[in-house]
Amino acid sequence: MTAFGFAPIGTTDGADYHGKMRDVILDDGANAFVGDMLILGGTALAADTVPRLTPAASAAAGNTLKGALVSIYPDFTDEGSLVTNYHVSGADGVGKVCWGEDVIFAAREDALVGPIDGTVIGGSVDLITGTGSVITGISGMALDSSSAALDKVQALNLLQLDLQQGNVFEATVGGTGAIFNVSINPVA
Amino acid sequence: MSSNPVAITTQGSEARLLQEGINAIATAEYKDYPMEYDKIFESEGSEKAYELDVSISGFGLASEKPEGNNISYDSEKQDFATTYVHAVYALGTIITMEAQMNNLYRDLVYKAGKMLKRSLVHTDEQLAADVINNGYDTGFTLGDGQPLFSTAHVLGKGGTFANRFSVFTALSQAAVEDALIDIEDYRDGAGLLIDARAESLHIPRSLRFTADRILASRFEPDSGNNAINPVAQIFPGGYHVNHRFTAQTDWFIKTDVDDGFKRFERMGYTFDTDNDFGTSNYRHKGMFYTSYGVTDPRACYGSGT
Repeated sequence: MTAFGFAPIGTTDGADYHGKMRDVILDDGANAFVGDMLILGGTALAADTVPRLTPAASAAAGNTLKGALVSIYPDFTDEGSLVTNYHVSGADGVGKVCWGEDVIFAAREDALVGPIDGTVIGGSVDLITGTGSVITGISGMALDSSSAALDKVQALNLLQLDLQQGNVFEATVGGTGAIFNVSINPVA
Repeated sequence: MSSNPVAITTQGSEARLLQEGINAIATAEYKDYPMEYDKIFESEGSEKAYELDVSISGFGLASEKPEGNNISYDSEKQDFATTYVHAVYALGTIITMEAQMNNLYRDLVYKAGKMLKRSLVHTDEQLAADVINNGYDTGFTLGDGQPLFSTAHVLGKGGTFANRFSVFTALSQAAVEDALIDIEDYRDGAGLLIDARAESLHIPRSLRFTADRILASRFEPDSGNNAINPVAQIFPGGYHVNHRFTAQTDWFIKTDVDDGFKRFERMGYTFDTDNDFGTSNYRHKGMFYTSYGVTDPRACYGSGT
């Protein structure tokens, strides 16, 4: 399985997707990778003008997902940092986040226990954090296949199998895993 | 298969390209193999949502008519239909105005167009190759309910025929000979012999050198005999490697039977752009509208798998 986190691909209401993003503070407490789902996190400061977010460790109760990180805003005061593809913990950063429950994201399942099949499409699914790559800067987050169920209680709505050419339901436990379209579940 | 984990190109996507000092931008562009699908599929235009091919069986053999007896009659009949439902394949990209303006090395908009075209071409090729890759899968059937390569293709007026070996047969001189012998026994829906001729050999990359030894040697390959090699240069169309074939030992022969491998082009590669007013984000999309399939399984003979 090669996870890539969550990639915005459209909107749930069919509205045209223009790539709108919101600036957020990436908290200094953790690395963040492009594709990571973010939650409120860290200690907000009085001077914070935008939300302070950190990668979701899991979609535990109260950890409502806010959106997926699509870009790290470059720190132009430190040219050496421009080759770093991820947000390095230890200092706050600025991230560009595709925000909200109206966005459709593509994400790969981990397929570790039981790959997702059609019996749970329309239900909900949790995420697993995996490990982001400090080389490529890409998230290691994926859908937790074993959590998928025909309910509405988990962090992500499981909308459909992604229509990318060649993407089919995974038949093998521990296989590559299929890609699905999901949206943030606001009631989770 | 992979998916683009970032749908939007921002300044942060290629941050190091915002300032001078780069020697080279590597791994962004490569040469591609020449088109491979057109070695197998015949392209046709279409102006409908789907296309339908109907297979027909003609008359069978005539009967003896004893004196004073009636002649016997036959009729043609419709056998099975093959439906080609076209689908649109599309990909887009979004580039922020700032990323485009501040990238010192690349015209992101121009490059995006080239990369989209490349993605569409690769998708087109993959769609074609998947017809072969799924050729033994009973989940992907032709009009007669059989997969592309089957030992039980249906003759419209009764009976079956095979367009594959009953067990997997590795590519060899003898295997090619046996396949050609079987092809010479292809019959129409009424059981009459047809003149089907092998046109070309289609192989995965792993069999390139095996194919070369079999088809290019004037003498029997891989033996000390000086006997002639009867299959040398036997395919008028030669052999073709398809780099997207997944089974690295399977191979097949394409015949000259009409209405075999078909590609319908409802809409060719089409590109469009716009700029979002609110964000000034630039968007670029590429699409094509097509379908692939096979009507007559006599168009090929497979190795088995």
